[in-house]
Amino acid sequence: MAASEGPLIYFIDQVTPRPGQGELFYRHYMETYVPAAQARGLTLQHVWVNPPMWLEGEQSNTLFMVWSVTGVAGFWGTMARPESLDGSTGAWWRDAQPMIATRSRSVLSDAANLAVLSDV
Amino acid sequence: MFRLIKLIKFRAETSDAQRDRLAAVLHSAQRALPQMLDCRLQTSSAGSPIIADMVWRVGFADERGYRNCLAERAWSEIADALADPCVAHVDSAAFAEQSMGLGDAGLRNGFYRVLFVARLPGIDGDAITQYEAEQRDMARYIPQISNWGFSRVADGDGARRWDYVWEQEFQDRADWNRAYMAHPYHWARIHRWFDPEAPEFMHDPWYALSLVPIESSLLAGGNQ
Repeated sequence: MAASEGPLIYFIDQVTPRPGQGELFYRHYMETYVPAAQARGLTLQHVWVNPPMWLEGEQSNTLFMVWSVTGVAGFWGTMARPESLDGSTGAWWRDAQPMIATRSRSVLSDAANLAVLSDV
Repeated sequence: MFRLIKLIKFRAETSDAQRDRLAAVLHSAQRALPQMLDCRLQTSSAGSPIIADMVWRVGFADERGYRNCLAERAWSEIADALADPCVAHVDSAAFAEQSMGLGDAGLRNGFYRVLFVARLPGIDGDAITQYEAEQRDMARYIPQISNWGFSRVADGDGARRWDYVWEQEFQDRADWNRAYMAHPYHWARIHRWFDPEAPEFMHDPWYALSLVPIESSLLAGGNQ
């Protein structure tokens, strides 16, 4: 579980579902991924959709899921454990892969926190 | 220099006498095997089920010296000792030393950490190149890594056919379990290769590792 000290650390999962599957991916994500991630201690800050309407046909939305944890201990506490690879976390992305064209994950913090985070 | 590292895990019921007997065989190996240019044996006090109890680290002039050593009669005595029922498991990696950094070759009373990792199948070459470059940059950003070595494994055995050996030395254990783990280059840059949720995830989740106290640097070479 996340510790309560340190700057906020953000994850952004940027996902471009396959054409016309934006809404399907969104619903699947919210119903199945989000509860498990919250149970690990992650806080869902935003789900942004570009453009802000569900595209159909050959066009694709891009979704930005913004999560946060508090401090570095929080980061390690909420990370998927290697032994969970056969469980839900890594498997979720493998199962969802047929809906996904591209995705990336970024780990970020506010620029004002860089000196604090690097002072280890 | 060509290296062989063996990570040895004893069964829980193994006696001190049994451990000492194996240690004596490994310590004295160099006397009967002239191909060995240096030989160090370190013992972990971690008491963790996932941390190997002993690290045996041997150097050879080159891979041919290593292969010739394996063919010696004296080597079979080592193999027999490692196959003793008191030994629960051995992971092994033989490799040509590739990338190294000796920021503190005179390190005294520090800690040595070694990690064997294996790639998942199907990782493309560009990802491997980027992964290796980022690993080699760790000490550039994390000054608590005093000395380091990162190499591809030529001959891996044990729980996996290992692909990489990551060796790091620290001045004290806190440099590893606090500073090293807390640095953003580790958790926000390197970790994605090990994170089963990240698209860059490329490692088998099963690792072999040990963490042992050292009187002097293993990476700087030489006998104790």
